[in-house]
Amino acid sequence: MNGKVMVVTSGKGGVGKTTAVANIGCALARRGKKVALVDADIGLRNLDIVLGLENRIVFDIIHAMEGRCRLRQALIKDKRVQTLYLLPAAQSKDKEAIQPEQMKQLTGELRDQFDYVILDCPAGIERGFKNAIVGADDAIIITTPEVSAVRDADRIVGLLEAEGIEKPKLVINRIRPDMVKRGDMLDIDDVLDILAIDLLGVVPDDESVITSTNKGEPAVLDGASRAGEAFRRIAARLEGEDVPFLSMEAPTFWGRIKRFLGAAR
Amino acid sequence: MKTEDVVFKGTGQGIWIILPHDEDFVRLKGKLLQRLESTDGFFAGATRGILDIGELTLMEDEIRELIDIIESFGISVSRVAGGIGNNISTVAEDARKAGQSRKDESERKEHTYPDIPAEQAMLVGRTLRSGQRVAHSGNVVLLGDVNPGAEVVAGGNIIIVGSLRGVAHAGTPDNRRAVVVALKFMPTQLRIADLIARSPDDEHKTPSGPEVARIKDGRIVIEAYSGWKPELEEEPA
Repeated sequence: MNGKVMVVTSGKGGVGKTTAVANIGCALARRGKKVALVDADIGLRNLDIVLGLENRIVFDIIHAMEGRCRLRQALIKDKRVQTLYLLPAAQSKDKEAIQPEQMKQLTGELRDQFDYVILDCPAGIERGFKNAIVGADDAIIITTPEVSAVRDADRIVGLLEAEGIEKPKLVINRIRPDMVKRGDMLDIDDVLDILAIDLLGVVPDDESVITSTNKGEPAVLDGASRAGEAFRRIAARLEGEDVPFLSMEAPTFWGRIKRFLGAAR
Repeated sequence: MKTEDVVFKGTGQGIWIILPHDEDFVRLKGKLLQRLESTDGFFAGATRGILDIGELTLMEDEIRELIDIIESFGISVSRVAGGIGNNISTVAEDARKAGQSRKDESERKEHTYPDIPAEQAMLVGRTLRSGQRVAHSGNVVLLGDVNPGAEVVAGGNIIIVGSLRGVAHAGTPDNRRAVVVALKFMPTQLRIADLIARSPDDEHKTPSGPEVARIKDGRIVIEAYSGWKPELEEEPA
């Protein structure tokens, strides 16, 4: 198997990286793909909680890297989706515990065993970020429609380009159609105007994500969740399908998307 | 492949000190220092050091700083090579003077920087994203956007074929005749020579067309580009 290694990154914290990793990974696995999720946020372990797998952790990424266990032992199989695996971060170490070469080797090993390897990158642009992107082929950038998040995302695009990761894809998270409609929130056009990268998906702000995150049940498993539907469509697009963007219910939204697609082609 | 680290090369011309392509000046300085320290004074006393900045775009004071570092290890820098288009040297006479201020007159004679035309232009064919910076002692022409958090600094004029949302500083340090032209003018801050202007805090007007910023009566003014005619210093006869 020669899988794809993708890093999910944002620069700014709290925009929904971990939730996106859990949901995109879960959606891809539900499509029958073999998926490994790697929590690269050493010292601030979160992905296991969002997936509801915290109590299953015996070995972590540092153990696997230091050879204290086999990689297979550290990979936790998801309790709901058969083809989804998690490589948890260590909680008692920090970012300095990993060298970029080790990360590269690890992602290389995972690539042989999985269709998708998705890395949850820590916030920031320091050591942890560099470790997370070193082994990645592609990047997914998460931003929210806020000026500060977009600014950080822009910086990340520049840094990724410098590291040879060209053409990252963009997910705009937590859009509130009512606010966009009133002109109180950046709209998709504004964000794309600055970042000028391909749009992979738009995810509406959805309260059910908070409860699903706390319960450790990714939103994609909830058929009624709008955010879950958005992440399912993102997974479909990653698989090469041409699916329409989720309607944000704002009247001018479709016009904008069409305009964007028209302009992009 | 561009090199990651500082490379020393001894040639008939002298000792080349080739800098890696690292846009982060602080990191670049660190790499240079580290490499120099690792030579253990091997090159100390060399009089024909050549600083090769490759494709890096550095300001005069930055180059001066690098030269100071090299010379503190006992290597005299006689020449700076590289720069945009790989023309020999982008260092103006000023840099040389200041860089050599500690040296006495007799020693200074050995250092020969070739002159460059003051208004040499640099072409940047990409968008500058947050955190990225382009600096050049002449004119800068940028094909792309300057995003918020990015910065363009030029000794001469700045022409942006795209949107200016970040910071542009033309005519640094004291050329008050310099102008900034952009297709879409929404700068965070605009500087020409020693003057600074910022965008109004409340208004968020989207410009309708290309505009030009210049100094008029001691203030930076922005006006529509159409109808504006550059005042060229020397009109060809």
